[in-house]
Amino acid sequence: MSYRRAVFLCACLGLMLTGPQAHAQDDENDFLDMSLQSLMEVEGMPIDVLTTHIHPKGEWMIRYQFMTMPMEGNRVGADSVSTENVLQGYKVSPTRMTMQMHMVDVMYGWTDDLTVMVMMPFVQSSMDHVTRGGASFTTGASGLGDVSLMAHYNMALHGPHSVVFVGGLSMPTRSIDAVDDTPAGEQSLPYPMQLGSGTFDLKQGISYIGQTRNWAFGADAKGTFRLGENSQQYSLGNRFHSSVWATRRLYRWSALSLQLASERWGDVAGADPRLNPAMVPTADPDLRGGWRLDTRVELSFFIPSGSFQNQRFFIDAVLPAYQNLHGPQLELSHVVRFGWEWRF
Amino acid sequence: MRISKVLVLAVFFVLGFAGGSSTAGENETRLQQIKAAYVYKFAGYVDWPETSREERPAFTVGVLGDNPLGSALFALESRTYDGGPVAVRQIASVAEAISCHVLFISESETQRLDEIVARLHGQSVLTVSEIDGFVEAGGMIQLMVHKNKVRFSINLIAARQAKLNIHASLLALARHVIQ
Repeated sequence: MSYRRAVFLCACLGLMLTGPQAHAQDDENDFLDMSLQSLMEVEGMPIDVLTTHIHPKGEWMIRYQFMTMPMEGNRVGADSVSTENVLQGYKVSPTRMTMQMHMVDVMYGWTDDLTVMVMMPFVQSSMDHVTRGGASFTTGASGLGDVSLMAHYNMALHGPHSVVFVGGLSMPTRSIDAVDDTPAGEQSLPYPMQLGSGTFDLKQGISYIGQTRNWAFGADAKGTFRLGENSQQYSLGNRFHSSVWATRRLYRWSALSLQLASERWGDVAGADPRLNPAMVPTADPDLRGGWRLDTRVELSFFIPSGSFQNQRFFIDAVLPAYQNLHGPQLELSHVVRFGWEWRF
Repeated sequence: MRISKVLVLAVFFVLGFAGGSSTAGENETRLQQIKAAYVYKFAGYVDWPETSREERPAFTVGVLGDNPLGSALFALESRTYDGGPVAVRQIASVAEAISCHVLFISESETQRLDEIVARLHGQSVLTVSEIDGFVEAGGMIQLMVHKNKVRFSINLIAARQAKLNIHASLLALARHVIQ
């Protein structure tokens, strides 16, 4: 992690820790000082919850977010390896991959305890390569990714503490037949460049959310489990996510969040017969798994009244703190995401 | 790598701070504080009979059953009503509730709600609760959360029977008025 990233994260920590004093002075007894009409416009839930959450009955939420996720350089285990090292074992080495995703989520509060959700991603990926002979080339793919249908159920609510179960299904709405030009002609793209999994995937998880007046905090654990093989005789590895997070309201209209997340994903089971695993590490089904520890910072702005009422704008950055990859495998540089959501 | 480890520890520290550093004033949720503010604000829209004022010189808010609003309700004691102090009391029995101007009836009393309403019939006590069907059961103001905001319904008939005058401006803000 670079010095600049460390300074950035430390500045966020400082803002989060010094926020309470400023906020306490600003908001002391504010509910009691408000008119009843103003009180009726106050939102009951914290300004931002970083994880699975429940919407009140009848409430809709539309969210759009754009995410860019560059990966650069290769790792074997926790250690970086040079492109030259990779090329000692393979004819082609990936050097950089960028995935950009436009995601539209629609959530609806079916009851006060059950929220349903549709997630629709549009993905653009590109990967830069270099060959043993020194030539370089880029492949790319874009299109609708796998659409997910999810349900969030409020299992337990006790005062400021709640536990939410999340379950759903990711559907193989995207084909796994992406091809592009390479020095060897038009070829099927390797596993990380295919835009979908090709399988129905079961998603399950559980979240704890706690809240006080100015803080929301919680922990969650989620898994994605592949149901069977796809049409190309393989299935992507299962994924497991867990995190702890905290959100601090800085003012009535903004919040700062920090999250520490673990991402673990398995190797590919089976193998795509169109790929030659001796050619490039990204085509090797045994070199897809790994574990990563991420730190995430999010700043959000909430509009409580006026023409843009109930809209939230957010920007966040994910900085990996530790990566241990079955490699050679491209390592994550960072993730930047920004978006907008509207509840009505 | 060393910086990464330091940052990881720092994040854990902040998360620990978030979970464990709440001061006494932060132990209630936003929602509890908002509801407590509603209870206080309602008093400004209600006229109690003169006889009630003479019998109960201090403006008193009682809570019957398990207090769901925590210390947010007791924070009302820092305020004034009509130039006088506001007292908040945990009420042990319905008989004791008659001495209150406002009685917040906890959801823990749901099973005996009919009995409570019957015993308070005709008494100038503004009853407030979150119990489902409270106003239909003869209570006066029911708080509810709708689309993440606190709303309320009013049983004007019950208020009139208790000789309480609820201002038209409060009725206009209610989601539903039984009259």
